[in-house]
Amino acid sequence: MSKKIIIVDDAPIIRSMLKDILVQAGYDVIAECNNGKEAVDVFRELKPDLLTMDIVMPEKDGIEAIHDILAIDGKAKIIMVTAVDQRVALMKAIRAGAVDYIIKPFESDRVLSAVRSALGE
Amino acid sequence: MMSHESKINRAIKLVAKISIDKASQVFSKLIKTGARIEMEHAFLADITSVTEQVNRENANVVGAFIDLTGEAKFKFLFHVPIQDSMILADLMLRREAGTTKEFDLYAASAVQEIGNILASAISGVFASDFGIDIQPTPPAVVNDYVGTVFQEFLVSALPEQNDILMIESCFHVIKNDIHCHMYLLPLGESEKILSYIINTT
Amino acid sequence: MGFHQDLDKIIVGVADMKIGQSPEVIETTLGSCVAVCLYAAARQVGGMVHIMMPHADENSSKAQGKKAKYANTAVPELVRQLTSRYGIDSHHFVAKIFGGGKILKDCTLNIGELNEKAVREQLKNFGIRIMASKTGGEKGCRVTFFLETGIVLCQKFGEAVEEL
Repeated sequence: MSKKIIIVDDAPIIRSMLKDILVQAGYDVIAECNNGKEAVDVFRELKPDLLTMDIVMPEKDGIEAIHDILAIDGKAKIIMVTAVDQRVALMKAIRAGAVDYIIKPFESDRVLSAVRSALGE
Repeated sequence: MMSHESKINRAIKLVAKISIDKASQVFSKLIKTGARIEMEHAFLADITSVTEQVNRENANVVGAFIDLTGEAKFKFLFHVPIQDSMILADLMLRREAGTTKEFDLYAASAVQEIGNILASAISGVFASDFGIDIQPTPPAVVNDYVGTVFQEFLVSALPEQNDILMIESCFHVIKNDIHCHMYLLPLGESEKILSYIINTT
Repeated sequence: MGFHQDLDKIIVGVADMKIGQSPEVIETTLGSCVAVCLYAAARQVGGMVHIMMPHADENSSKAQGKKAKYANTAVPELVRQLTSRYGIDSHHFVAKIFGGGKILKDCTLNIGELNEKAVREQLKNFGIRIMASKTGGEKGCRVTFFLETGIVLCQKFGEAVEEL
């Protein structure tokens, strides 16, 4: 059975790019969220195997969303996909509980290697 | 002995050069095709004459407005003609240029995300080259006359000032003949930051 | 910046004003700023000012430096320039006003609305009648003022040209 993934990013084009990469690799993208608040609500409902999460988003940013999601399920697997290539921001994400990070602009190889590693494949 | 003003000018030019170089590398990587820096300069702009020049242009554009906040503050604008935003969306989605026939959510989002990525790249430059922590806010996207977009950018940045220090650049996506404009305006106490930059580099 | 010289139109930037006579054409593009067009039909003369902010202390250096920027200094200055250049009393002018939109939705302050309100107050102080207006909304507009006729063509972004 295909692993279930939720994509969280406020840019529809990034969601589309990630979805194309993941679906072509055989993953099931079960939801797309526009911001951290939606991500937490949808996570609670759908319990995916993995989420990809942007950092800079309106309403609730990625770091806050990670905290909230891990409070629901401490084993949730979250990969940051972010344009912010800065040690400070990335350390915050890792400390918050993200398992990996991908910097935009991304290559499909990098996305898939991070996803496979996070899912233990 | 260099004057205070010429030190600030040097700092601005240094910030301009490094930021724009980084932004153009990241931009080329994102759209998977060469983007050449066509113009890059830092200058003091009188709001009347600079907006008069832009008002002469007849372009309809999509613009991404971003605030860079933290230890220094900047306003950032990336804008591209509407027709070209559709091509940029196609390039990002790895489709043949010209596939998108109408301005849609993805074309607007392409500009939004390119703006986000460029602004983030510039904030990365400040962190790695100058040790200054700045972060971008989520972009606001506006689709309007180029004159409207540009003046709203200036008006929202420094409404009380008549002369604005401005970093401007233009990228040319050679294969598709797309011209994109990018602006960076230092705000508030950025003069102290610029002094710091020039004293430590 | 890639501008193209347009010999047929006088282009107005932010915080600027231009006056002239028939057959000149004055044009600007607006967002939250407000443009005031004043016209005296009998002499076919008029002017346009592109106002950015509602109010400045009239004696402050910033108001003195750019009178066209603030509604409370821009309107009096436009009237002064027109009356002194053409020798016409202010009550011979009629006004048309444009712009004052809210372009950046996340902005808490609606500067466009404040600009429009300030402009209307100033025109009322001079007893100048507002013949037409196209203000507010969330898009910019391009305004072309023909001094031969006093007609203003206003095109809001994404809409058809309107003759006012």
